Amino acid sequence: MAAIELNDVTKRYDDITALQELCLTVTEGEIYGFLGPNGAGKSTTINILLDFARLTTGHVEVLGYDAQQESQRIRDHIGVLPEGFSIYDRLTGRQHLEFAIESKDADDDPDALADRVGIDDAIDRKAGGYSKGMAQRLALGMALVGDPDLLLLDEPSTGLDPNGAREMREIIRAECDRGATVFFSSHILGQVEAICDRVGILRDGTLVAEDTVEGLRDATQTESTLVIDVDQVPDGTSSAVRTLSGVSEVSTENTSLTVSCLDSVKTEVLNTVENEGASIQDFTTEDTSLEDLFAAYTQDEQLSEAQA
Amino acid sequence: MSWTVVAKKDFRDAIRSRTLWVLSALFVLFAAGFTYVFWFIPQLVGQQNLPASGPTIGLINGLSSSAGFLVPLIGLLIGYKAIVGERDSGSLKLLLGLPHSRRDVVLGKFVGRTGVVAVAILIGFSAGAIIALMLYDSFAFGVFVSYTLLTMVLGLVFVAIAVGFSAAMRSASRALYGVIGLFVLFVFVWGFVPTVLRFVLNGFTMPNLLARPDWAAFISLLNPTTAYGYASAALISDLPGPMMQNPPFYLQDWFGFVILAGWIVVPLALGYSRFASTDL
Repeated sequence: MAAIELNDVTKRYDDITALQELCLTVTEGEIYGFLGPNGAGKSTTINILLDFARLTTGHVEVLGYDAQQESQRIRDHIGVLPEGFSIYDRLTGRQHLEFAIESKDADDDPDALADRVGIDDAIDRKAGGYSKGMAQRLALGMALVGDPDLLLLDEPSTGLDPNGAREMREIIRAECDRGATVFFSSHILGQVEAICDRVGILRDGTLVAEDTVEGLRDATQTESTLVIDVDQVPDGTSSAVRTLSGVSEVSTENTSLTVSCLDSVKTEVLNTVENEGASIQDFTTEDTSLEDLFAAYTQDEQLSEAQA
Repeated sequence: MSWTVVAKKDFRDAIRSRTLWVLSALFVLFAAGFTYVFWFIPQLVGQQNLPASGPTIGLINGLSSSAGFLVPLIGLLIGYKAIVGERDSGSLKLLLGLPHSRRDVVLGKFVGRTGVVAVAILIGFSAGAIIALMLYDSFAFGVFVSYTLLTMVLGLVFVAIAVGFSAAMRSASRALYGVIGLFVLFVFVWGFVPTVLRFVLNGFTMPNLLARPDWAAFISLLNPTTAYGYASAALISDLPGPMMQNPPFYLQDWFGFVILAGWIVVPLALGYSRFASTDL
């Protein structure tokens, strides 16, 4: 059974189409990163999963339940960190956690939850005085109540400092190890690369790419930079490398060759260098950053259309 | 039974924010104050040779006219932000991220806020009863209890109307305009509506005001505060009821309860159906 299944989901607001025949499947037990620039439709998708928004056409199932007909049952089994929420100013952190525990009919310990999300020292303070980051941590704590089968996290690192974002990732990983599926949206890539099993990239309401981080890299055929240290550079080496298809630039500095080429021809470049009589001491690759990949998918019309 | 969790939280929130205590103090001031003034100015209570329930009936009559203003106002103000306030702030997303259905939210908020108004009325009227028991020569305790319960029902009606608005509207300010408009309508305007209608139907000349047709009486009765008067008369036999010979069933005093029930069910149902079908 899929944890999340969206079939041909279209969502229109008046004359704006937020989602266009979106199909997406999240497998049980995986960490799925839902990427896209602001306004791509990520929050709309999550709102539909939660029945905060109703789809115009299509079909959505979460944990095997119909998202519109059986929303309450779905929310019994999931933990939610919504986007653009606010906490209850007059309630303490503990009262928030207790309310979530009572609502889910669970038996978690509020202190243990607060400790886990790093607000244990503020648990008995009114949440009205919390910073944005603390409110985010508190809401994550509420989402973890009752060991949910699925965590839906909309821009979870909003308001968190780098350290907080790292703790968030650790919690996500731990939840996945426990057996939960994690679906989270982000417009920041650094968070996704490190922990996601799979990534979906949304643009203008459609999925323009969906793969593992590795798979996306391979598919985009963007360039890597290969730095090869050799004992010596025989004459003709750099011109031989330059003639290979897929190589765009070669430069030599002392006994070091720097080659810009497609990922797929890296091996060929190394072989050519050896054939020219150089002995390779060491080489390093600077991968395309996910940042570049993301830009490629969300900005380059042709590329994304080819992928779609 | 997830609505009970919502209702409990809502009621506790009213305690935390001291709303409950402020309201209770207000009703203590109102009911106890009224009871004392009635004792202090005995001619208001009526002649000494009335039946045993005389002073109590006099007191209830006096309380009714003011409660018909105060209770709707309090009910509407306590209820109008119940849902739309959370929608404005964004805490509704937190609430509905938990396993509560939208129906649980409407029902829970309605019950929670009704509890707040009902408890405040109960505390205030109890203070009134204590003063009456101490000062009055005779006090019909049972009658006063019936009247207190009925006033709590009136509070419930206006909370239902306000929560209905709160569920239907997209912003708190719109819900506020809605309930203020309704308050003005029921308290200040409604009394003229039947007469104006008759004036128009009569070819813009004044009809005979003493011979009121049944339909005009029924329009008056549609006002929940009027229905509260009918229901009071049905419950407390010594209270003056609708002054009519052989009224049709829809103008008999017990029909006040039907109208009150309608004012509970219809606003909640309309508000819920709008809330249930909307995108948050």
